[in-house]
Amino acid sequence: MPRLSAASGSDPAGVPLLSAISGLQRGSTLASPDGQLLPTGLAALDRALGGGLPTGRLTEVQAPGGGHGSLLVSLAARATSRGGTIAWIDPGGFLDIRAAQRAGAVLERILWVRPQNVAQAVRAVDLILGADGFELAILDLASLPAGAWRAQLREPGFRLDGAAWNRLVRRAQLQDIALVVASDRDLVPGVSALTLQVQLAAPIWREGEFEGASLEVSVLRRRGASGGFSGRFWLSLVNPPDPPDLRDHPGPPDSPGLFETGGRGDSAAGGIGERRVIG
Amino acid sequence: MTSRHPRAVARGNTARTAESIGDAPGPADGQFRMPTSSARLAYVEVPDFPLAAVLRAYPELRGRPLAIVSGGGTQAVSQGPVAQRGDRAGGHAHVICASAEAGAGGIVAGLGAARARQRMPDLILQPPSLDAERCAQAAMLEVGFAFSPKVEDAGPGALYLDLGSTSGLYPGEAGVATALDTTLERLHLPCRVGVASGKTIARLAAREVGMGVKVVPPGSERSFLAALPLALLEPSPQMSERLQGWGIRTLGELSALSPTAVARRLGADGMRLLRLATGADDQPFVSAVPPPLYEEAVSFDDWTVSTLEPLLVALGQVAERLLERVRTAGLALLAVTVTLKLDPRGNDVRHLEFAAPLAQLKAIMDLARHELYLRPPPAAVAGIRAVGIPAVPQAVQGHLFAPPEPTPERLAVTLARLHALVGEDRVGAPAIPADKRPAAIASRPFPLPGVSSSPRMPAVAPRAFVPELSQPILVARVLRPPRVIRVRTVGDRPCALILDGQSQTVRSVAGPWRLRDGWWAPDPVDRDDYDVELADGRLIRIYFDRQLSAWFLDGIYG
Repeated sequence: MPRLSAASGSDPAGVPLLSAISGLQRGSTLASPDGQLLPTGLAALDRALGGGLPTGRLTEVQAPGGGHGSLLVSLAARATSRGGTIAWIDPGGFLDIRAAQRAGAVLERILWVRPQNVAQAVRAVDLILGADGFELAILDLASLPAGAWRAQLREPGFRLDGAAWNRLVRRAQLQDIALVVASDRDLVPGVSALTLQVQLAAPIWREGEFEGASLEVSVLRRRGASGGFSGRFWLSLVNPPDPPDLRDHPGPPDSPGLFETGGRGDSAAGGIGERRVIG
Repeated sequence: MTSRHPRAVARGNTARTAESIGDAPGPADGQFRMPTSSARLAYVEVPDFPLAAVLRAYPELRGRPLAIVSGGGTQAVSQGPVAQRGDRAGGHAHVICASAEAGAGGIVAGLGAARARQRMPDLILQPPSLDAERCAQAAMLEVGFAFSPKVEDAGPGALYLDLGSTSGLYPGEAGVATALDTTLERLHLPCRVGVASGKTIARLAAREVGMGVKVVPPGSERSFLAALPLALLEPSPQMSERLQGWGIRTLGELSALSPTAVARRLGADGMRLLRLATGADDQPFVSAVPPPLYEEAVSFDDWTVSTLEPLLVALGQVAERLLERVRTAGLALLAVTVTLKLDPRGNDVRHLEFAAPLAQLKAIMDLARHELYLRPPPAAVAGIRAVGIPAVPQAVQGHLFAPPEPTPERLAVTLARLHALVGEDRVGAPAIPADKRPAAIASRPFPLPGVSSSPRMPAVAPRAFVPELSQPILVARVLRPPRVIRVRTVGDRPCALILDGQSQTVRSVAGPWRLRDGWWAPDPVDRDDYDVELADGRLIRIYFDRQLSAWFLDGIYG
């Protein structure tokens, strides 16, 4: 896959994206919520939100058609690269570990919890919010199979209602942790301090290569501010150098160093263990 | 001898106060020889040790009429575990010691078990528990080592401490002794403490005070000993009668006698009493070795536990005692090995390991509960033995300019609870797997700040392979496991596929990228990857598995 030359904030034609998105410019004038803000790593969104997501509050990311994964990974990368410790509650097990590392996330600072259903996931968040020192807790409830939701009905004494969300918000507030819940439905009505809706759209194909896509972000709700904005962000699909484990795989134990592995985009590589463009 | 529960004595006539006596002129007799030892020692003794050990191990017996009987004779009349025990020794058992509640009903040491039962029908008779005494003795030693590096095990329920190195840590010897007394009281081992120059004088000081603390200041030993009653040396009845016949009732009067005359008239026993009366030590101080592990045990003897909740209650009591001992030494538990003694034979061993040293009972019991619910014991349980591996609690210095980090202990508690909630293999830090397939999962134990055994990343990420954060990347959500799909191709390129039961036309496709790896492994990778845009706008990642000749969906972009 070719390396993408366009940087974030630019459209494929090279026109600075932010200047073309009036909605984002308007969004930047919105008042910030109380408390500190956690940068998302998406410069345009941070500007629009006055610095980032509110800590000690709940931010809901609705992604009816997907698109939140890149936002969450960017958030995680930004927080961990600053030295923060985060928790990623991932009942669907969707986290792309290599992509997270490519995005700049420090994996050792991510507590990755993979519950088996929604009830376990919410309880895990509850435990995380009871600990100190976490900067961000991500609960990814989007695109879960129906079984993960049904399982909660079998959990005695568990109800995922407004009271449960309010309890989580209170705990997040006590520990000043930014709680981000991603879902493909309106899951936490009236509880979130900030509700974003993201939608992946307009994939960019150039010369038969998939180079990226735009991410449309809408602010549906923001406590302390009226109105919202709708804007589009360009998420570029970068093709960074391969991590060492892809390039320097030792091969079988009795032949160390004999087999080398190419990487995605390394079309010149050949031989066994390669990953090369063959089309 | 009337045996009373120590706490009853403490509430009785003897006040629990540290006291010391001033020096007074001693006998001018040249026969009086003071010990030459200058080491300041504390003697700690738990009176009625078998009773105290049983009360410590079985908290449900506290506050109830209880007598420890010799010969294994037990006949319980109360409810609870002890009630299930049978009388095994017939009528020959006799009371060794009794609780204050039993003492109030006329139960005294030496009384036959049957007679005691007649006097107090609701009396609980219990044989000495070797397990309980062993654990209580170990707890006493640990307390001793928490105060002094030199501790001597002086037999069941007793120990000596060399106070030479503790003077700077506490406000005087009385402060050390009071702290010892308080600490053991917290472990449900009420004790008496004597501090003096030499073992014998310290022991006599402790026994003279009854319960509580007594310090004999240096230089005042002579006057202190002189006033003590002869009974404190516990002479034989014949010896006692003979000495009283001579009008000798105190140690001062005894020590005034000529050693030659005592040897001639009273023999070796008399000489031993004379030496003790002068404060001479019959044995040198022998320092013990600190126990490397902490162990607590409880035996259910004639009854067994066949359901989990009562077992957890009993385990909780064992763990609480273990933790209390560990905390006393300023430590926490890094791991606990629980051995369940099964009925009729065999053991079930469970190993609970924590991410960081824990000192919280609730977190440990959460893990134990999860472990036992996950794998219940295969048979009824007749006893519990818990061995704890202690470690120094972790503390971490935060960075001035970096976000705060979780404190190791609270993080360890959280991790322990998460392990109990979702399973150990589902909690950790993600790691790059050796398997190059995107769906491969690798995680490692979440590193704790300040724990040397866990590699902690520096505050700033290594930049070698990290792009600028201002350039966000499009990320695929990985399907684990990949989903089998049906794909129609033109040549080797997908042109349509069936996803979620619906036929989808492929609008654009990129690829393939071949991934071949691990041919030497039983599950080699040989696949061609494609990025696909469907007609409904979805961006997905699919691959053709060349080994299986099948198509899979393994990621959805977004």
